Amino acid sequence: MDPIPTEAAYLQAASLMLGLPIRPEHQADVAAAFAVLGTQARLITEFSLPADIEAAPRFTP
Amino acid sequence: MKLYEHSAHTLAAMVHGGEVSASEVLEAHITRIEALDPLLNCFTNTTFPRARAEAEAVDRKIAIGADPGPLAGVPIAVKNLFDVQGLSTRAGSKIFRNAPEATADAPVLARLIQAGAMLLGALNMDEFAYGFVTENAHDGATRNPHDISRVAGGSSGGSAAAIAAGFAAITLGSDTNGSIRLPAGLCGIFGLKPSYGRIERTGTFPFVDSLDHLGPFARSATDLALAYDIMKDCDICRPAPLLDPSRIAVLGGWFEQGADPEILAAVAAVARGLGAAARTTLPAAHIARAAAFCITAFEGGQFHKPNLIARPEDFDPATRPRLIAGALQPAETIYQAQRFRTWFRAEAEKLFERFDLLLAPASPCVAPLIGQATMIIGGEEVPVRPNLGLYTQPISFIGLPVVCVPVTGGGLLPRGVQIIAAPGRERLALAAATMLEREGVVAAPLAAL
Repeated sequence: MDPIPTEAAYLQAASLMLGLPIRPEHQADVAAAFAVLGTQARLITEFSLPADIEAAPRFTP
Repeated sequence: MKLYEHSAHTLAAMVHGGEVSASEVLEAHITRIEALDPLLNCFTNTTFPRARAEAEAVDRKIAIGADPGPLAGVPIAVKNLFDVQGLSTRAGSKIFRNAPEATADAPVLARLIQAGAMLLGALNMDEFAYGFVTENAHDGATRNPHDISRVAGGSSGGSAAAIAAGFAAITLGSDTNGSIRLPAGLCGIFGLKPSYGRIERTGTFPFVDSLDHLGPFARSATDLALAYDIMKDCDICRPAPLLDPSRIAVLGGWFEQGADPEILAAVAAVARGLGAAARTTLPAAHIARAAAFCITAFEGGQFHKPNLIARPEDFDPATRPRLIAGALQPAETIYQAQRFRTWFRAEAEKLFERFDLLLAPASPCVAPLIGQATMIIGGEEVPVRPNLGLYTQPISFIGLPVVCVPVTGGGLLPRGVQIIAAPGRERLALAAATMLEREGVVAAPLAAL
């Protein structure tokens, strides 16, 4: 499945910004994987959480 | 009964009692591995000389009347992401298979050896533990002992298949999104994923720090408890109440959507066996699954970023695109996923005020065929690899302890059921599994090979 244009543009920009190149022969598979992640990500970001909920990663001072 | 058919606790009792030597137990298992592992492909390394030395040490202790430990003469093996002295810790990869050899066993493995176990070798897995099928591009697929045309599940597929085949009595694996529970269920054996943080991970190759767990596989619930007692680290155990059927519920909603009828029948059988009639739901479990999915890809991708830049061609083609895409996700996704994790944990805590144990399938279907790309879930064709863990991911996302019990027989392939407890209550889930095993509701017979 082709990624929607905004995802393709983001992926290209993020690859450049974060210094993680995507070889031409890997681009189609990475785009497909990113599209799957995008579908899951929308479920997360569209879920309305109370404002006082904090993130869960551990930090031990 | 052949020696390789016995459970770990039975073998240890036989060795303690002088009924059989550890060396005899070991040789019976080595013979079986040499005969059948070429068919199943569980082991990526064998350590038979070392195991023979460990067996002799146990037999010497028995001879002089010393205590050889609770695992005396028990043959074990570990997923190849555990450090094993003298082996490269490959973690299913090509990249690390020639890494410097580990100079010591992972501490959790060392504890089992100290207790009298004998290490047979290291076991196949999905590359970097990122998969549910153990179809490894570098080491080949591990075959399901109950039907060799099918996958063993993953990512700890070698660990589960080795138990189902009678190659070892206890094996160790890891579970980030379901990698103990899925292969245990698909191979028809018992698996324990303890509470997050309960077992020390030092000396194991990480996948996703915030989600990784270690745990044992076995053919009996008693063996799981035996291994767990030796493996567990800091004791955060909460007092476990007695089994109360009125406080056991089947999870509905997400945990039954799309499941095949025989899978739901297995959950119903376990519920009946425990006398549980209640049903409940864990709200927004599909978002918990999504959050685990995105965090996994992000943390895994970030961890492997140097090699994704330097030598992407050396990754398994099934792993590489997910790691690259994962590493490039927007920060907002990961931040909101971690916020959701806090919310979801609170929802689970509310549920545990009403119930002590929750029941859910380990997988939506029985073991898929090796090489099978898609499957039908709820009438929709979806890819196999990302969808086998639908029902395990929301649970490990918040670190709950789970015993996966096997429903076998009736001419059907094995089906796993998750017995889920509140954090720190492994004992209660193990007690339920033991009761079900005693009553014949669940069982892990050796595969007919």
